[in-house]
Amino acid sequence: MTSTAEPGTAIMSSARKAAGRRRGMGLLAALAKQPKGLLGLTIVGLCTVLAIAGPWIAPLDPYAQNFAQTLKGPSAAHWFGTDQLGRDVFSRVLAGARTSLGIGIGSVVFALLIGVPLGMLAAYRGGRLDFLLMRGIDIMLSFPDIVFALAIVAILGANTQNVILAVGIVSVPVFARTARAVTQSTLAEPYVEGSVSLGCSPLRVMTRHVLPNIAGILLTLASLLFATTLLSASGLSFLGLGTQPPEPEWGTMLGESRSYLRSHPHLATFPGLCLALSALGFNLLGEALRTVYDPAAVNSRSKFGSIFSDLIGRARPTHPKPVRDRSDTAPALKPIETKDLRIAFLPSTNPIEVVRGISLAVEKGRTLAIVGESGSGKSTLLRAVATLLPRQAGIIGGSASISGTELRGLSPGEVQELRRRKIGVVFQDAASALNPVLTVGQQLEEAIRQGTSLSSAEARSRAIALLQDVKIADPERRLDMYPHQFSGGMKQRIVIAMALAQGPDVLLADEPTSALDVTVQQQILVLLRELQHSRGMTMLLVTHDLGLVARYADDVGVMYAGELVEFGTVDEVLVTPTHPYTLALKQSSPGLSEHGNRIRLQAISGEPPFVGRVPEGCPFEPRCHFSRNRGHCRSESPKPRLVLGRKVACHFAEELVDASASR
Amino acid sequence: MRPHLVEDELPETAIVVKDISKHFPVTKGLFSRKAGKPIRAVDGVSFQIPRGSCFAVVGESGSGKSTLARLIVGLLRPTAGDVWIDGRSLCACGEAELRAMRRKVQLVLQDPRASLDPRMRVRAVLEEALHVHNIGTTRGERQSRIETVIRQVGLTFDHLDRYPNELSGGQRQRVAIARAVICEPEILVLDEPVSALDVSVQAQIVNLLMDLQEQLGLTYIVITHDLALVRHMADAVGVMYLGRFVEVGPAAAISSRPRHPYTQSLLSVIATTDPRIEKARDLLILEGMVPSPSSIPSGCSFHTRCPLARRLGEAAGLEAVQTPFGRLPSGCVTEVPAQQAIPDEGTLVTCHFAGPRCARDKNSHPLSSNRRKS
Amino acid sequence: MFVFKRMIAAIPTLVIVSLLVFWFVDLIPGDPARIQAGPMATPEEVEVIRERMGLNLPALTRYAHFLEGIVNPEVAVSLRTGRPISIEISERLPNTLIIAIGGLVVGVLLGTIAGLASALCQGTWTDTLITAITLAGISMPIYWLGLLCIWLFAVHLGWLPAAGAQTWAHFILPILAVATRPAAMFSRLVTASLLEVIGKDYLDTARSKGLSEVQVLLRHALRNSLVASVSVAGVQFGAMLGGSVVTETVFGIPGVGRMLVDAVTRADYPVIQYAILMFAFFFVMINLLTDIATQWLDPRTRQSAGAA
Repeated sequence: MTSTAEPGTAIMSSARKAAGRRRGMGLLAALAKQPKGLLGLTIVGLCTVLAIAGPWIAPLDPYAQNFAQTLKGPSAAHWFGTDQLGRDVFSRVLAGARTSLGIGIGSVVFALLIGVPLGMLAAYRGGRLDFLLMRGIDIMLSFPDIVFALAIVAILGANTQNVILAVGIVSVPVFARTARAVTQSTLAEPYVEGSVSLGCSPLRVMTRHVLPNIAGILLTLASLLFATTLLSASGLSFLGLGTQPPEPEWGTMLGESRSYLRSHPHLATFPGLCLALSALGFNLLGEALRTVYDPAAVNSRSKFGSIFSDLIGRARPTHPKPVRDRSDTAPALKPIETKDLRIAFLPSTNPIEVVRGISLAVEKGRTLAIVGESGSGKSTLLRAVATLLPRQAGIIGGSASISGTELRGLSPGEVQELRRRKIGVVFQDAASALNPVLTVGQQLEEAIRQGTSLSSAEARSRAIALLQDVKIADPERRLDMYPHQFSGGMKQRIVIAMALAQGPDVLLADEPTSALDVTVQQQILVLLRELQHSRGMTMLLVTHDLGLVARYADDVGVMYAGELVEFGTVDEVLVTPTHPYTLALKQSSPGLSEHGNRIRLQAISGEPPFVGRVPEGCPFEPRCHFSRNRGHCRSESPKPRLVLGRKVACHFAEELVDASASR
Repeated sequence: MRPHLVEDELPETAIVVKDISKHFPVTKGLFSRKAGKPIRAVDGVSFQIPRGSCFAVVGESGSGKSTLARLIVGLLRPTAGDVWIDGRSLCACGEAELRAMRRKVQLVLQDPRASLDPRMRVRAVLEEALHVHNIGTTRGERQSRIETVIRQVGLTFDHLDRYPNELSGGQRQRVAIARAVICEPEILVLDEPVSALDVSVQAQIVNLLMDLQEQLGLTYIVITHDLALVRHMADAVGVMYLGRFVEVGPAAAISSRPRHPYTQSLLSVIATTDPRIEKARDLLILEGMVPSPSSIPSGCSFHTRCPLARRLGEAAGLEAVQTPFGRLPSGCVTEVPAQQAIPDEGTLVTCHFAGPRCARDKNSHPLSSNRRKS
Repeated sequence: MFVFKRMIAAIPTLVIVSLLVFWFVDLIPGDPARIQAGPMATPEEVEVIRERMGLNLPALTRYAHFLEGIVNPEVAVSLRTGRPISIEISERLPNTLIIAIGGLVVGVLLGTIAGLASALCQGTWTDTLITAITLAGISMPIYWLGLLCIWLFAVHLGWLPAAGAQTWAHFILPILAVATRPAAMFSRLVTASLLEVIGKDYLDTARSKGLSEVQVLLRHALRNSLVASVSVAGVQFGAMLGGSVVTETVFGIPGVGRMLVDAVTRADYPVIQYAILMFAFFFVMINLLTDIATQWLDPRTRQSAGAA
């Protein structure tokens, strides 16, 4: 999407890369890397050993009664003490592991084997089968699960097998629902459509493409569900409706201990502890699996400092105030100005520089377009100017200012004031820039009233005026509607109205139209241009489309790999480019193919460098037709200098000018 | 390379689409009773494509162009009409036959990031295609086929052992193209093949597609919103609006002399990179947005946004009615326009007023003067 | 309009549920009257019990009787005590509800506070500690936790009564015990939904309007997690009602859950049927209310529901 997100996606993709390589032992390694996973794996491993070997390693016969030794506390002979019949509690806990954990495993496997195929089938077939299955699950979920299990036990009778069955049946809906949901979303993935259109049979699609991709989520669910199942099964036994005495089972043992709680609490301690620990182990493992398999979970639990850190006033990397050079900023206050601005993601741990020394200035009332490909740092630059850098990014050098106010080192109050009165921001995706649960009026009036003492009636009339300004008909009625009731173009108009709420000096627009249809794009851009002219605003427009720049901008800055390679007026830069990249962009633009059909485009070879992996010297050198392997380009990064009235960062800009002049 | 839009079927025609429609019923509840009007995603589209040429379908979101692509490859079954590939009707095919047919018609999707299974290496992706269609008997044979194709799409052997997320966007799209061409198809349906890519990479992929077409003698159907790309790649174009072709014909004729007001406005918003032209240009920007395909306007479905109808409605001499969209000729609001052939140009236009009778009138259209300038 | 439609839709569910509960007696392997009468009973005694249970009547009549028992106390009586079941349930229901509602309120309060703290202090030791406590809370078997609480507060410290439901003090321990799970669930939910919402563009929009971080949090972030909270609250309330089966046994509280367990051990089938029916009724009602509340809170679904 925006290039701001890219360092994040780079991190994500490396996580996915790990996920892609993950096979067998790799999964264990991935789990063991997380503290949660390591602890969970250890406990689960211990549980497995206990369940298999428990009855054999028990020092004493778990059934042997000894009426001389009843209800004794823990001692050297009986580590966990003895129970009311003089049986060794330690041996019974060990022997009970097999029953308790066995019930859990049995029920989960039962639920998995029935629920997953049902869910996948329902998702694949859809229609009536899906409807019936879902209604059936609804009916099952109309009973509290433990009550449902109780009913099954009441029908079948209380014993271990029936508890497995009862708890297993109760868990079927969970698996069926989840399997259905994840299968549905996987089936909607373009790669599934791709393999269908390739000619794969439905069976192959399900086994080769869907199942491997949902297996992780199902494994996660199985682990989490095992914890729940274990607790409910033992709960039944605790009530005397599961495993029957004298069979050792943790829940049954807890149930028996109730009568002796006052005098002999040790009886309740150990079986309960075992239950809680096993459940904890499987829960931990499930959580760790979730972090491995669910990319959303990885993303949300970001490691980079605390969110809302401003709120509690710490952890945000403090930006030292740059030394201000009075003589430099005093004379003409540029609406937008940056000087050698440098921005990095994760500045404290692993800095990835995405904006690498940008100096630019925009005169009042003009539109500066920043053009670049994904990863060029153009959106990060805009966000820095908008004081909206994401948490994990920070300015590490240089300065940026709005109407002469230096942005670094401002107090939160000053930042708010600046955002209210000076800056208006238009985002790329209007759908996500509006809060879905508030009406358009509420959101617009909020923007209007911030930091003012306007009454709500005044705010409302201003909101109506703003909607009229952005050419939305019937504004009174529209104010009470929610964002989802508007089309994409209308939403973007509302976002623009919000940006204009307090008459900002500068309007910052980040790819404002790339999510819109071609005909609507032009409506929005024409609107922006009209508003800018009538209000005398200065605009910073970030885009990837040279055609829009030619049509709507006054000045243009071409960004490549975090640097400004060419900066000047549109008329100069686009008519006679002096940087090879600008020229190549212009030539590869299909809009130019006026002259006829089926002519090859002049493509730029290679791809833009990855964020954080910018080559030495001139970053464009590997793709440049002009450098012709000259060593100078590889060793030394060109500094921006003035050529033909615009700033260019190329060692051989003059050659390019001569070459295009001679053509 | 002129497409033949006449009714008689020619032997070198790769694909014939006749009166194809896809209506998605709006259903609710157990017994799938119909609730509300169906969504008419594609509504009576016909065209044929000569072997080895490139046909482009252009439209905005909601125009039904992606549905059309899925009808052609047989991922969706049409409500009415049929598709003939090499003279074989898709409707007459059973599921298994359809799967075999897919060897001939391959689909390349828009977003290469999502269209490759994240758990399969490039080699496995290509092997699957060979496996599914039983191409190559020995391991060595398949191996050499994979190596040929990977070089054809401009990748190296190292890329074979990578996962899709280890490739850049352009490389992924090359893999998607390799998967499509490895089973030696005759027709490629390209759904927005470059719009998810960076500007500098788009041109590479466009060139690659054009090279492959010449080398392998492929027939292309390009689905796109970008008329600029069309002018570059296509021999013939169908401009789609709300499930129908408003204008269809040779690409050269349509891009130099668009007849339908919708095509005219789509062409006018294509921007060149020359600011001197762009700043001077009068844009023909449509108002409003595409209506929902579940409630298609009466008469000519474009009348809610049509600049020509508004101009003619204001002019005297025509029977006109008042609508929420201004005063419009009553024919536009009530009558569905028929396709009319423009003589000498081979285009078909679906408009009451843009047909041959009014052809002379079109010279005075604001757009034609603009295009002269550029 | 939507509320009405949704209520209508709940009726078939209730009918099917009641049929299932009714059918339940037939599923018991063997002859329920025989099981009821015990192995020593003579065939005549079994026949008397069969008559009393109405097992010799046609199925439809029995179903009608079963439904009649819901409104007419005289029709449905416990096999053990001979008292009308509806009276038994209505005597015990308040205890069950007090614990479930109390547990929900305490759980939501504690959980929200913990979740907020965890989200705001992402990555610090506070967050780690809360996450650990939360996980422990989810893994804790409530019957064991209950026993531990009784031992500590009633036996060891002697602050609170151990069992029974005579005074308000009797309810403190059960409420705290059942509140553990909802508290843990809510804590996770609040943290997760705040973290999810944190990357959303509309928070940046709010910031760019000049809102302070507190305003952004209150007006935009928390509000959007309300929808998810309501459905989790519904699920947790239902789970606590079901969990009363265990809780009331641990704390010796005369509630519906305890009654059900006793009925199962004593094979008192009419009581089992009506108790399960009651639980199911509450469950369906809770699902209905949560659905309506979430629909109402989320304008996106509200509108489409209104249009449909």
